[in-house]
Amino acid sequence: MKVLLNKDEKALRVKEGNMSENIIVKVEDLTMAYHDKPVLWDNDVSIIANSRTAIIGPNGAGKSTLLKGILGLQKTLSGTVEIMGKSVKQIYKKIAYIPQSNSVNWDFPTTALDVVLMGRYVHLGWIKRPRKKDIEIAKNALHKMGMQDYAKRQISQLSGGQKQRVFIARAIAQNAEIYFMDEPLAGVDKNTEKVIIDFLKDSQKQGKTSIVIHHDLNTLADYFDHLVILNKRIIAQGKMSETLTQANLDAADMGGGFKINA
Amino acid sequence: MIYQNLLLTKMLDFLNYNQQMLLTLIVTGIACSLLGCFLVLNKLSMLTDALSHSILLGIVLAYFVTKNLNSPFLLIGASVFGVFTVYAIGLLSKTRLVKNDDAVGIIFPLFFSLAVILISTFARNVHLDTDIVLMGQVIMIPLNTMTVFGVELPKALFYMLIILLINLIFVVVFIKELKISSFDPEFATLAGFSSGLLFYGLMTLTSFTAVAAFDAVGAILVIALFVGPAASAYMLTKSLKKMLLVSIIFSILNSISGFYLAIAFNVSISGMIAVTTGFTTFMTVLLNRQGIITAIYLRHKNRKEFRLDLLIMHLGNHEDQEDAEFELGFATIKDHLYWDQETTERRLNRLIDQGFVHRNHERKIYCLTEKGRLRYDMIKVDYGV
Repeated sequence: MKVLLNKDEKALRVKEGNMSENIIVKVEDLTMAYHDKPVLWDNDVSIIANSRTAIIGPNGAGKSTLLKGILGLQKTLSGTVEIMGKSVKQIYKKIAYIPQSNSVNWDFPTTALDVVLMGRYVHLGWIKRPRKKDIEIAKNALHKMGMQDYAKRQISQLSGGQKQRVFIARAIAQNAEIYFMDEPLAGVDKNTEKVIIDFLKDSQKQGKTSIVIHHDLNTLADYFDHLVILNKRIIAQGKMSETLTQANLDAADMGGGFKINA
Repeated sequence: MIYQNLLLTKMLDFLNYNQQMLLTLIVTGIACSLLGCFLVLNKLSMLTDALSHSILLGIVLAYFVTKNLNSPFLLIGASVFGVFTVYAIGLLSKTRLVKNDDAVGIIFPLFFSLAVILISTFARNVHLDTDIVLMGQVIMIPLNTMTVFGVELPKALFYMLIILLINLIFVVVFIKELKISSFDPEFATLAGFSSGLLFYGLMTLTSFTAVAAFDAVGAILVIALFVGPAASAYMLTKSLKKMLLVSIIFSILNSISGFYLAIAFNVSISGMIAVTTGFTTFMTVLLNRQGIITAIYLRHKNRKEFRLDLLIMHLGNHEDQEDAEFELGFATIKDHLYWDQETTERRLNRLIDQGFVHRNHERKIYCLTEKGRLRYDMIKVDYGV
């Protein structure tokens, strides 16, 4: 950990001044429960437009639940979510969700290209079939992930890293503005990790926003510029340099095996 | 129109009773396997079991209302009840007091036994026999006919043709939506395709198909028709369209073979088709690409090939070195590989036959041929040396 952090108490707090930046995802008072056991307590989250935001937290902190709550995939007990000032239902075409790669059935009889093509379904709507243009877009997306040679490969024959690249290619094909990713780097090879991070940085240059659940504190500050620390409640959020502090990590029960060089 | 009807009548006259039965079975099988593919992909096979049993209660209740076993309302009423069963199972498992599997196991025996009690108490003199319920009455298919546009054809065949048409249209029109919601339901929901709508659409048609097939083939065969061909096709194919096609082929083969075997042995037709369905599925388990027998065969073959590769590596590594006379000598090579004389020679001879190795009589050692050199380089790349 080479990042030097300002330990000044004043700088630890996220100042209201920071919030004047353009907020693209605004979550207010979000409470979510699983079997009547609250997982997230009354959380306010603001994601800055055009940021690369990481969400970290210990196991069971509700990271995936938070993403699913924002996207309306899981029921919320209370709270509101606004994305670009609108509800998810109104803006779904601009949102790409990349789930944990073990959340789908990889034995499904389909090819890598076919999965990427699903990104186009968002724009096609019901019944309409993908056209040549859509297939072209999907092929380009595979190419961007360095997967063009695997287009016709059945998805069960892909490695963990390749599966993740196919998922990201699907998000590229969708041409979304905001990417929500649930641990995209879990269990992938070094090469894929680099491809994914390059993709995130590239997307930022194109004005896009990514919100990524991340688990490796060592790479956190290199890969992302904004941070949300979660442990059932929001512990801290804001710019990476101001948020990634020992005090915050300790407050989230994450300080244990990890020390920040101050 | 009249001419067409005449032609159709002639055709059906031409089909004897056996062929009419078989045709009905094939049509039923195709109608079932089309939906079966999506049931298997969504891991809903057991729900079919529940559905096919609990529709009996639907049929009984609908009969009490219509008082007519031939009424189309019976079909609709029973189908609606089937969907209600699925909904009830979903509702019960949502309480989180019981797991989904348990909910299936609670609801369908309850409904099924209620139906059996109702039949035996109030409808004893009606043709709703509990034996027939399970095995159906294939043999009765040609006897129960109806006239459609002037053509006399088995009632079961007519109903199943309509159901097949509906299922085919559903699958063709919504294949994209069905694919995305079975592969990645959350993504489908976000992309604006309501998984709930597709789920109940699929379940309604499954219920409809099960009810219509029930009379002809019974509650047990209908499960086999839904699940067997689809499960076999799932193991063999790598695209959804191929899976649908292969499942149809399996279904037709199962029906034909089961039908003629049943006639040959004079046993229950639907029972025999369930047997052939089970048999073909079992064979697919053994023989598919990742199947048990295939795995044993491949392991054996790999082991053999690995030994030969090892030999080529050994030759390639030592050929140009000073110790080649010892390492690769006609008489001494076996000591360096720790293999016995016979095995070593057998393997070397095999490589000589394949043109990878030749005997260098001048130096009294085994050497790689040019082809062997190429193979040596390839092996090094393959194993990453």
